[in-house]
Amino acid sequence: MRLKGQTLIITGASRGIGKALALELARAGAHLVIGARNQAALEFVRDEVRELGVRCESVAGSAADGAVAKALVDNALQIGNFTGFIHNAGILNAGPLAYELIESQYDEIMESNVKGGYQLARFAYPHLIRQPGSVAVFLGSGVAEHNIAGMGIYAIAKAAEEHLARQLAIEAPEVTCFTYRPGIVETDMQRQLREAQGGGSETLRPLFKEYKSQGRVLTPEQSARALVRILEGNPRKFHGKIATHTDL
Amino acid sequence: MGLRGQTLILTGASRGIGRALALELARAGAHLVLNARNPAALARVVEECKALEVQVRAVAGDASHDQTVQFMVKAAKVLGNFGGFIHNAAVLHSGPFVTELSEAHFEELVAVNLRASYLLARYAYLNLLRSGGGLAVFLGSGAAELHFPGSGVYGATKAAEEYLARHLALEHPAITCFVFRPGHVDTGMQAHHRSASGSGGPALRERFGGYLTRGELHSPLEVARGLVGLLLENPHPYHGSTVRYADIGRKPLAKACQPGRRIPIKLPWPLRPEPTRGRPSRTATCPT
Repeated sequence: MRLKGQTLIITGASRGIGKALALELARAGAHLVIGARNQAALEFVRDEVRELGVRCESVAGSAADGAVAKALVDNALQIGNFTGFIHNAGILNAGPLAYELIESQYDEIMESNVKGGYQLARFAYPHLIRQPGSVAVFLGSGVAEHNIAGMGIYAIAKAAEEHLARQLAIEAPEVTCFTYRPGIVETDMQRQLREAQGGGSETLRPLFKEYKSQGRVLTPEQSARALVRILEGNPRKFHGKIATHTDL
Repeated sequence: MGLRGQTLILTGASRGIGRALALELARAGAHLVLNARNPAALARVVEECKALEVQVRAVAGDASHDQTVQFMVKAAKVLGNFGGFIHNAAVLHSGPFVTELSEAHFEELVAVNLRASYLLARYAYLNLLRSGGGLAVFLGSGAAELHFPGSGVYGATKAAEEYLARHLALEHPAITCFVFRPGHVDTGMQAHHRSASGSGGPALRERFGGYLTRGELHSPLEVARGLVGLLLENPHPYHGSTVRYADIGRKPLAKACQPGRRIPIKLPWPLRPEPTRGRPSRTATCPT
């Protein structure tokens, strides 16, 4: 797929993989609409993207909020050539066992990962199904299959999100839709795992420190570049499936 | 496990499988805390169960609300001998594609099927852990693994709910936790599938209409007896697994847990060096 001149939405673009994706896609010539809850950090990324010579608009807020999801899509339509979205925003809240996690943290995890994905699809698909070569990418995780103590609610949210991605692939085959599992990436999320508190901390801390000492941790740029290469190649081969950073 | 004298929480108890389960559990001598959103229908089931000479409390309300679940656990502690819960309540909203489903219906699916599951664990587990063990059963569905156009969000919530059950089993070996898939049962949910609207409607109506016309639906009573039979026997071997009603008595059920058996824990990302073939690097031991 040719990215130059296409407009894509990226959520969770203020930091980590989302920010790296925004910059990498901009380097490939894509126009962007970026979303995140932290307005100041998001506008900083927007300015950095614009310096790369592409159009970029930012919408601050959670994509789980219908008004925010709609604003992301409206901005993309205004730029023109709206070709897809990458739902990268996701909250982890690692550490507590499932029953220890407080309600507001449970709700944050579900809303960012699952409801955000549903809202984006709901507002974007009516346009994307008429746009040849359109894509919808959902950031998944290895924990959607094999779980560890202290990541339970995040894992079930990712399982639900990956299920939704497969469902969309079947219900709307016009839009190339797949899950991208970014691997273990050095972001704020990784630091949260290595410094986890709560009933799962005894499992999480040594495990994620070991991943790091074994050199298993990618930089956000490495993981973002892998997804951009997949998009530039033939993303259709992942339709309804799971792509990882090693699928190049 | 003996059910006599134990107190169990049951959600979605006003009709269908839930009502049948309430009556079967009462027949087995279990005291009950029954929940459903419809207070009038729930009150009728409470009276039916009381006639079987067990103690019953009704907590009407939405099981996805923190307070409703808190009340359920409090009521169970008042009755005494709190032994666990069965999360049977669920909504379906069959027919619309994911992108057609209204926000209100999306919210309801995620709340009743998933958030209520988490809340039951959140408020019940601490009490059960203190008393040394207990039971947590989640009603699952084949939809967790399938992708029928028009029931995608239901499927996603069931996939997540079943995964939550496996996760709770991993985190708490002392509390027997498993998924029970009742299969196609002659309830309001099946009728809802047979009248599905939206883009997925025609195919769903045909598929689920077929189960009825071919006489393939189980009765709620059969299915409830199947689950209660498992509980009366010894449910612990099914800890962490998914039990299908149709398999009971027909083929050996997958026993995930046997006392003292070591189960490999699979990591989301493997560590180097890879474990030696046949010798998992990390294991958990089933409790005796």
